[in-house]
Amino acid sequence: MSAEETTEDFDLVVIGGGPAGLTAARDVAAAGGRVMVVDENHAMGGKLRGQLHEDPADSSWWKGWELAEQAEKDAVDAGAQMMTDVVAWGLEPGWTVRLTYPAGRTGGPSQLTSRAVLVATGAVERPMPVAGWTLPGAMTIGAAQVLTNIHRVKPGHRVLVVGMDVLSLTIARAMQLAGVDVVGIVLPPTTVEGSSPRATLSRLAPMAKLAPARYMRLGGHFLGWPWVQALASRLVPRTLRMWGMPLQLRTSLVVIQGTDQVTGAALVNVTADGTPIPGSEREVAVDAVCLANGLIPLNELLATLDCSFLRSPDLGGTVPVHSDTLRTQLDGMYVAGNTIGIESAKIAEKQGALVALSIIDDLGLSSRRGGDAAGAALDLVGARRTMEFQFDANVQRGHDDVQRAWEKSGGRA
Amino acid sequence: MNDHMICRCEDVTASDVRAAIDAGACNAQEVKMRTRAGMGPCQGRVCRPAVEAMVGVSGEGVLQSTSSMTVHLPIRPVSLQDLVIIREQ
Repeated sequence: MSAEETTEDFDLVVIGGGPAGLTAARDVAAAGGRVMVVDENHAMGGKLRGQLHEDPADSSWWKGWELAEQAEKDAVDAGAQMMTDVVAWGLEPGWTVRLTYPAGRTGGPSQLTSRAVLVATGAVERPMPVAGWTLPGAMTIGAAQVLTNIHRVKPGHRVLVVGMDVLSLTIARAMQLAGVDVVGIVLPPTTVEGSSPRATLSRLAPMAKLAPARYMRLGGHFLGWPWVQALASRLVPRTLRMWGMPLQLRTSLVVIQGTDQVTGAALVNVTADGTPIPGSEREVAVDAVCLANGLIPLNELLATLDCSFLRSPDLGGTVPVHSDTLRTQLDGMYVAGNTIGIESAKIAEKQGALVALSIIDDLGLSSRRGGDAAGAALDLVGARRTMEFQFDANVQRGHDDVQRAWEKSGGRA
Repeated sequence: MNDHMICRCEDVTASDVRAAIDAGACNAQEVKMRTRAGMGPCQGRVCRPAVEAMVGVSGEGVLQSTSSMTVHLPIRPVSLQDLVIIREQ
């Protein structure tokens, strides 16, 4: 029960050891900076650890946990320090990062002081409140991903997936590969914003606009082509099949059923604009329901500080105003990864490399490398154009809006 | 019939939130003050977007906060031991 105060001093503290944070830690440490990465999970890697899909580029498997371990190893080899199972609960200008240890203190410091802080806290899932969503067996699609791909535990035997986006379809396929009977993929309750068949199709349709060859190269091996092609037709069928799983484009969840745990779900057919069709109600017996309502940038730490934010549906939520070189309005405070917009791990990694250039430059760690940041910012724009899994087709527009807000603010809140 | 949980930490249901809105709450912070939604251990990390989906969000362009439902330190539950250490400094 040692309660001694400990403070450690760093050039950079990275909050969140996902692809953005680990990449930045690697590069800043390689430039001679004293770096500490803190993460609240048991292992570094963030959401990367749960990712498992066939890489569209060369049909090899994208095994997120291996990539996460490599990213951690690269950062450690470069000289960065790591702490898991630790929560950063507050930031104070100067900078002090306050820490707590939910799993029990094991002699770690209660705070870190640092010349620079990188907030790379990623995203959280948007909840989909509906009757029954707190029953055992009802979970977010991200929880199903963690169970299936990290713990190798089936979320259920007969599973209903609610919500259609790149993430939910990818995880539905991963569950199917793991031997789960995915009985259907349906739309969210009609009360959930943007859940109508028309709105859902307008989000999925960009996939269908790609030429088949390009689509297959970018993701078609994984998600299949015929059903995507059908999205482009003017008459959308009631049900498409993705690897045999029914994608029910005109069916919405009504309630999740069960007393002690999930035993089923009530469904209803809806019109194109999402109006329930009376008399079409029916029930399906399942033991798990996975709710997918998109991701939101997680920005609680910055929300307690004096900086401004921009609400951007293109980026998934409200993000701190920052420059295209990932500086915030606060001296020594930087952002990267999904905390500034929902994108793929590959983009997050590039953001990590970009923000490292800014930090190296600002801290005067290496005069040789600092000048590349503007070029790296442009590379990021280019990379987005060729990204296979774009969570929102307008993500670059969102980043452009942020850049305009940054310029207008003159870099100050 | 379609009542359901919004804030799991504080046991606040959708009908509680609707009642608060009907009684005049016009943003997420006012719903929080009337119902305690967002005042539990997770401090609104889960229910903030759900409350906002019901009451709506206000404000366009550059905002001074991420949400009208304010975010306070500590942003996560903190052990008393860690707070004691700070006080003893």
